Order: sequence, then C-alpha cells, then structure tokens
Amino acid sequence: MSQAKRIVVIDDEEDILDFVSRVLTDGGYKVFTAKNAEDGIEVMKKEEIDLLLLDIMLPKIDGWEVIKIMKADEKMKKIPVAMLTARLDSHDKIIGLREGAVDYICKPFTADDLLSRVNDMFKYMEE
Amino acid sequence: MRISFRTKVVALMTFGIIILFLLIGITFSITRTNELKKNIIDEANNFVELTRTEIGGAFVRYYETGFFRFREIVVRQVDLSSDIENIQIVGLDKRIYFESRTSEKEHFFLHIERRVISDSFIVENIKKMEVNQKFDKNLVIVAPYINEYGVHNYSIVYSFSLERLDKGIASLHRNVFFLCIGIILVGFVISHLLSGRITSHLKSLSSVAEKIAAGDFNQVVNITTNDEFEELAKAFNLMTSEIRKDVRNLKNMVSELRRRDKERTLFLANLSHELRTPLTASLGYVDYMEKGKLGKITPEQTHSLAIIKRNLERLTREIRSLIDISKYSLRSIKLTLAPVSIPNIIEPVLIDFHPDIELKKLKVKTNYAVRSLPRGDRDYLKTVFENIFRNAIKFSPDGGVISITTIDHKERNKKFVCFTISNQGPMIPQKKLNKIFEPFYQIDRSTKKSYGGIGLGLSIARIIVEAHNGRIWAESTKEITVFKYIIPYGGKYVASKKNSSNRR
Repeated sequence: MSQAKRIVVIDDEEDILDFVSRVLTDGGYKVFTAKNAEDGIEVMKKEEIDLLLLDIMLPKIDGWEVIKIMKADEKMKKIPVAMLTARLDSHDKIIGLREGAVDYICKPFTADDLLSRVNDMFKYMEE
Repeated sequence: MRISFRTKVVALMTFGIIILFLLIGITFSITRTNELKKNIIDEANNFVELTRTEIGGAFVRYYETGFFRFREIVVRQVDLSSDIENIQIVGLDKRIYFESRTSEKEHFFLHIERRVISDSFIVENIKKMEVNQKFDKNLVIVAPYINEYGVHNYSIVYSFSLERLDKGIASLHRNVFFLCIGIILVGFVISHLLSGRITSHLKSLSSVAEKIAAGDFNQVVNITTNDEFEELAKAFNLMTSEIRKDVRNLKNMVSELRRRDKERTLFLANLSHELRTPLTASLGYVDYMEKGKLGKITPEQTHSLAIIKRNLERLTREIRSLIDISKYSLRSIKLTLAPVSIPNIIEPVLIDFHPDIELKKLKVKTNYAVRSLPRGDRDYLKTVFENIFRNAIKFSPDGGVISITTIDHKERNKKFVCFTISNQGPMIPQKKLNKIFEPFYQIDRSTKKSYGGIGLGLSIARIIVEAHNGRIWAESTKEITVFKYIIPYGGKYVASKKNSSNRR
C-alpha cells in the first residue's frame, strides 16, 4: 500500500469511535474521529479524505443533514459516505442510498464485519 | 309501489270519517222518517176522530132525507187536512154508498152504483167497532160510524196521501247526502292537515337521522306536541347526545392512540439506537480481544471471553426480536419481493447454528423437493426459518434428529411451498398448539428456565408468514413435533397493503 487511506468517522458515542478507530487503524487506515457533525465537517474541509463513516442519529445536525451539506460543497461532495446505522428499516436503507451513501453498516457489527466492509468499499471504488 | 305513510294515514282517517258519518246519517234519516210518519198518522187519526161522526151523521141524513148540506160539510171537513185523498162511506154489505175524490182541492161526489169493495183490509175491518189503519202505498183508516142509538150501519174509509212523507224523506235523503259529501270533504282536509302534522314530525326525525348518519351529531329534533311524538323526539335526542358523547370519546381515544403510536415508534427507534450502540462497542471489543488482536490471551481468558461474547450475542438477538415484534405489531411489515432460492436461505442458518448442533450432537437432514420461490422477501423468510430452527434445536433431546423438507402444497386451488421442520422434542399439548405463536407465550413457566428465550421467535415467524399471505401451524405427538408453514408460490399475491409502495 503506497499511502494509507484516510477515513473520517462521525459518531456521538465515544466508545464506538474508539472501537472503530482501533479496528481501522489496525487494518492499516488513517482514522480521524469526530463526536459531532460540525467537527467532522471541519476535518473533511481541512484534510484529504477518502471515506466518511457517518452515524445517522447525531445531536443537532443529523446524518442526513451532513450528507446535504457535503453535497453543496465542491470539495466534500466527492467523498464517499457509508452510514453507520442502528436502524434495520429498509426505509432508512433506501433513503441512505438515494441520498448518496455508498453503503451502510448495521449496528451491532464486529471488527471483521467493519474491516471487510471498508476493504470491499475501497476495492469497489478503485474498480 | 311505495305508499307513503301520510297517504295511508289520510286514507284511513277519511275512511273512518265516512263510515262514522254514514252511520250517523242513516240513523238520523231513519229517526226523521219515523217521526214524519208518526206525525202524519197522528194528524190523520185526529182528523178521523174529528170528522167521522159529523160526516157519518151528515151522510145518513143525506141518504135518508136528502140533506142538501152534506156536500158542503164534506168539503169543509176535507179542507181541514192536506193529506186526505179520498173518503168512502161503506155499508156493512161491503158496498160503497158514497165516495169523494180529492184532486187538487176539487171534490167529486160520485154516486156509484153500489160498487162492492174488493180491498181485503177494508172488507176485514168493515164490521169492527174500533178504528183500524193500514200503512201501505197510502194510509188507509177504517172508522165505524155509530149513530145516536148505538147502531153501526156504515163505516167511513179514509185514504190519506203519503206524498208529504215521500217528499219529506226525499228532501231528508238529499240533505243527508249533501251533508255526507261535505263532511267527507271536510274530513279529508282535516285528516290531510292532521296527518301532515304527524308526518312532518316523522320527516323532521328522519332528516335529522340522516344527518346523524352522515356524521353530524349536533342535530336536535324540536317537537313540542305534548304527545308520543314529543316523547319519541326526546328519546331520539337523548340517543343522539349519548352517541355524540361516545363519538367524542372515540375520537379522543383514536387521537390518543395515534399519539401513543407515534411515541412508541419514536421510542423504538431510540431504544434500538441506545441499546445497539453499547452492544456494538462491547461485542466488538470482546470479539477483537478474543481473536488476540489486543495481545496474547490465556486459555482461561479465551473461555471467559467466549462466554461474554455468547451472552452479548444472545442479548443482541433478544433486543432485536423485541424491537421487531413491537415494530411488526405496530404496522404491517414491508416486504421486498424477489425470487428466492430456498437452500440459500436455509443453508447459511445451518452453518450459523453449527456450534449448537455439535453441542447437542443433533442430526440435521434436509430434503428440498422445491428449491425456489418466485417471489418472497429473502431476509424475512430467513428470519422465519431461523426462528423455527432455533426453536427446534432448543427443544430437541441430545442426539435427536431435525428434519427439514420443502414440498409442493395445494390449498384452495392455490399453489404453495410447504416448509416442514420436525424435531423430537417434548409433545406440545393440543390446546396450546395455537398459543405458541402468540407473543411472549411460554408453554409453562418452567420452559423459561430450562430453555431460555423470551418467546418471540414463533410470533415473529407468524407475522412474516402471514405478511406473505401464508399460514403457519404446528402438529405434535409424543414422538415428533412438526412446524409447518406455507408460502404462496408466486403469482400475483398481495402481501401487506403497504407493500406496493415499497416495491422498487
């Protein structure tokens, strides 16, 4: 791997952030974490980011809003988004995919789930 | 043909009035006729009493001595009565000695050649000493003339015209007739007006009832007639106000239920998020640690981590089914229909449960007579199988056999695929075979302890099967317990109502 892929994770749960960043870091990715949408957007504006893992239920600005804000921004709209969701409703899946999310990962997920899904996403995007 | 109530009332009342007045008219006319008749007879008898001696005496004198004033006397007497028509002097030998005819006040005195009387009534009474009368075409009175010596030689036969009576009766009938016509007309008008009042009450009742039926419960009937109609109106208003109250309560209840439903949905979404997030972190790290990604772990630690992991997984599963059952019972589930490969939904479940199968040394046999389903929701059908299979493992004795088959099934001329999952677990009593599909149902308290689980798997399975328009049931004997469910084989089957909006 020439250079580590850079991933932003936005989730209001610190333990999730801890776990996700641990697994992805161990998996060879460079991980930025944000506890809320504003921080996440700031990071994405500053850094070169390859993937966003986004929780839907966030305080103040929720996941859907974040996607809208990103779409309106020249730089951010190129970043692929995967939703981290606790909801199993197919309704959420549909909205998520229509709004431009690449994939969704349902909670609870194991380390293997997470890593293999993220790896698959990058493989898919390179193709 | 529809005859309105009003027409019926009018007809009935008119008919009644006609009958009543006809009776009155007939009675009245009979009374009046009798009165008239009596009057004429009385007058005639008075006339007879007044005149018979004078006329008789004058005749005898005239007959015996040629008394010249006889004619004058008769004329004078005859003028006293308007009804007298004829006076005859008849001898006891039945011969007429004298006869006068009155026609328009002209008197003809006839000296007939002693004509013999033929009228049987006169003949019968000619010799009698008292006055007799006959009422026929006219009134005939036979009165004896007895001279001063008490000798009875002649009788006087008076004949009275009944023209006055006939005229009276005719005019009476005419009057009664016109009276009747008048009364019928008046009766018709009165009954029309009366019935109009009655039916107007009925109309106001029925128009209000129609408005109420259309959902306007603020209607009140105003009838103040101080009779049964007012009572009816009062009862009606009471009923309406009760209904109004009930409807208001129901509306409140419905909006309250809707509000709660919304709250419940929101609560479930939050619960789902709140419970899964900690589970994700815990389960994730336990799994990660168990795999040695966070440094070397001892065999004892591996064992403990496996137990933690298994319990966290169980917790995840129970939470999921709890949320699912609440969600499904809130609204019908949404199916995503696509062709389904049956082994593809069954085999992965068998792999997932491999450790449990090994643990109980179970033998699992599969036989797919049908391998595909043209339309079904893969994920949900997998859940159905998983829940029933988990149940089969749970109740199987160690070393038992679980047999899984799919086969064609026909019911009500429709083609189904029948899934059969059998186990050798304890017999389920006949009475409880249906209840096991109800949420939170446990066959007895002890099942909770010995088998675990909160009893939602089968009810979730039933909800999904029924959403596919299928049916699920269980059969149980001492040797074997079989769960069967049938899913319609393709065609255009209607799943849940909300389903169509979800088809992409």
